[in-house]
Amino acid sequence: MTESFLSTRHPFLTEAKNSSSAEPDHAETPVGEVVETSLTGFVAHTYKLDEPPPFGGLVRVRDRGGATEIFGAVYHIATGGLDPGRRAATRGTGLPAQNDEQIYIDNPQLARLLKTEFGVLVLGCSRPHTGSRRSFSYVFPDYPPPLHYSVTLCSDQTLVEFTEDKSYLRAILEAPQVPAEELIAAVLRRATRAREAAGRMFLVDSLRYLARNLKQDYDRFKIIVEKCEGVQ
Amino acid sequence: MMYDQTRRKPEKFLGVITAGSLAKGVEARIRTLTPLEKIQTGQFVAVECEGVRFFGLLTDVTLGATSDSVLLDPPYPGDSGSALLREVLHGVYTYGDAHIQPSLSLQNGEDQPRPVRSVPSHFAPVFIAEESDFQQVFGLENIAENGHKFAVGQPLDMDIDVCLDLERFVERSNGIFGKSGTGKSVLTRLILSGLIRANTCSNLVFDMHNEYGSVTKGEYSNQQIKGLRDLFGSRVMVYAVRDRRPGDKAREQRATVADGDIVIGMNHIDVEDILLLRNELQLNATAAESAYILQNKFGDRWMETLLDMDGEALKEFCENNGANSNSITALKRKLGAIARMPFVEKNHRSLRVIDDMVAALAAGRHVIVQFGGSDDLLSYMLVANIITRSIHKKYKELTERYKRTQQAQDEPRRVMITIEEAHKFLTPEVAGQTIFGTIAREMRKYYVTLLVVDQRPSSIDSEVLSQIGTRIVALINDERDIDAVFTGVSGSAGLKTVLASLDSRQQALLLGHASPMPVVIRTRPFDEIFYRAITHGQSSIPAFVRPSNGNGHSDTEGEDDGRESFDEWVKKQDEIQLEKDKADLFG
Repeated sequence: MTESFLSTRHPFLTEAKNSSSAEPDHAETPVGEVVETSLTGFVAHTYKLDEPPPFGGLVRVRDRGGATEIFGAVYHIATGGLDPGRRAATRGTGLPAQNDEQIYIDNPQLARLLKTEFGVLVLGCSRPHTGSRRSFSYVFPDYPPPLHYSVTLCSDQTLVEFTEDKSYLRAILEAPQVPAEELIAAVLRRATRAREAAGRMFLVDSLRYLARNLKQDYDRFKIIVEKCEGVQ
Repeated sequence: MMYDQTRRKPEKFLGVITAGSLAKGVEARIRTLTPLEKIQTGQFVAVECEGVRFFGLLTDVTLGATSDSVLLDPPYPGDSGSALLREVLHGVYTYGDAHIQPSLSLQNGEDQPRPVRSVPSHFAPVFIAEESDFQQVFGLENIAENGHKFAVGQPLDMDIDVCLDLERFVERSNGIFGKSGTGKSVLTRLILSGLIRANTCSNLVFDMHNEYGSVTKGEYSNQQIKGLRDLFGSRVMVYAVRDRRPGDKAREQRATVADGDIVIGMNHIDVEDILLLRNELQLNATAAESAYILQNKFGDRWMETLLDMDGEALKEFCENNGANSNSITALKRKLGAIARMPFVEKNHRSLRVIDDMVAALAAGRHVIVQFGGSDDLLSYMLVANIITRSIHKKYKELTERYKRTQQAQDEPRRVMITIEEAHKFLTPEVAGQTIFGTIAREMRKYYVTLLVVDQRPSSIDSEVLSQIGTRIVALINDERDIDAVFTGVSGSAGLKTVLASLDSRQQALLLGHASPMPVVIRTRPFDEIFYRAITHGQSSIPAFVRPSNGNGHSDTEGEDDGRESFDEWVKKQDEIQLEKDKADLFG
């Protein structure tokens, strides 16, 4: 138990050593399970505590028929008590010598009592394969993703393909109760980085698309641009 | 059917039409990633609509922004994200609007564009014109194949010929305008070469500065520029205004080859000629008008008689004829300057050389009148006016004969008269009275047109300017001159900005009758390549010999074929005149 638990804590332990790739590489592996679903978005619990897909990451869930996949962006991540009535309480001593990770080692039950959940905004779905390339449509799926289906974090390749068409940005702009500016900037940063040399061009094109949709709201547009600056 | 998208290169795409009108031109939102600073005015553009293609000129680019907040808080260089912000704002929040003046439209299935009578619809795509567009509108040069399309230059950013239709060119009076030093002479030489090669009309060139006849040195290089005589041989005849009196050995013989010396008798100087020279002679209006009194009294010997009068005779004349003696004295004094000109003779009945010239022109030759040592404005204006009057008279006769007979062989040959410093002849004060004003206004019917070369178009009578068919305009800055150049041109507002943005050398705006639409060109260089192209396939023709029987117009009866030397000829003329006078007097 302890061993498996320790392995799940791996990223935290190595964070200080390798800060440039702080994120675990679990692309194309299931990261969670749908626990609350709707057509516009869903909430999933991670399989392992504190190992959610990153903010702005592109995830997918297969629909019940299996032919269509539903794609969305992670807009919310939270960790808390499994039982809504039981909040987490302090367990450390507060002494300077204390290692924060030691708390988890000393209290192995925490992995069972706590849960990490993440919210996903649905952005589109993939049409059944036509030829070798996957094609996307940026509309809501016919049905919401089924409960308890697994959520997979997409690979960079899929991210590049999905963001080729800029229509998904519009869905984010119009989504209620989503930190739209932050989310757009996060998605664009990830998609830009995934494109490597071609990233700058993609970023400019995407921002132009946004600019056309935000003609009446220059201030909001400017915030997004500032958040995207310096990527690559 | 939409336009054939495969025909246009995507990099030539400029934007889409968003607004405008036929009268004021249309606006296109620029939607290209080319930076605005690379989009030049004066470019030729094509607008593709359903079934119709429009051609126009990009006359202006304006900056715009969709929202004031962008302009209130612009990205400053150095701000975080400002480079990216500037880049992504371009084309969306901030944009350029291209102002396009449509000139021609081409219906699907037709091959000749026609003047526009409609506007392109909303969102029609606009492209920078390609070679095929130029060919469609301006045609291909065919002057070496006896055609009349003559390449005068190339568009600013492309290597393709822009052609002028010389047949249309000679139908009207034309103008070449530009500040001093912008290449008017080169343009004139170029156009004249084309006209001579295409043989669409005869040219009479008043060459004030001896530039067009024979080899001259280039203004900006040491390169020798060939003259028209050098290029076209005996097709071009060079006459010179006599710059020494017979027996005057002090002056050196002129080096240039001349087909004849021009001498003018005082009896050929009309009051009209003196009125034209009023400003140059500093004559007041009364003095000039009193010349009429003299002419009424003495006929064509008025000037001679006046100059011969002494104080007593003058006084007597004034008393008898009610003339103001001060004015007449002033007139006499000023006319002395004319009498002293080397080409003015007291007793010279004959206009033989001038008649020769007119005959040569009517026979299809081209004549250059050089002013040699007499290149002051006074001589120039006087001679040009007198020669032109002869042509005017002759052509009126020829045209009237043609109208009577309606025989094809009687149709007069078109003559285009090239005058420099044209504003001196065509100022509003004198244009109503001088022969040049008359030609500019109405001589088109009589087969005589003008090629006006001038640096100060605002001084030219607007009535004359409005009749000008084709304008070739090099850089002009003066507001009044620019307005004058566009007198009688519709939709000129946009063209003014184009004109003001021309380079000061070797660029010109072409507009009017002979150019299907206004276009900015880099002038074709007048160099070896041009010499070869323009003379290619040209046969040589024998020297011009005037038909010996004359045609009733000249007063040179009894002459031989003019082979004797000039001095002998003058002497003989004087003798003949003397005999004639004696006979008049005593017979």
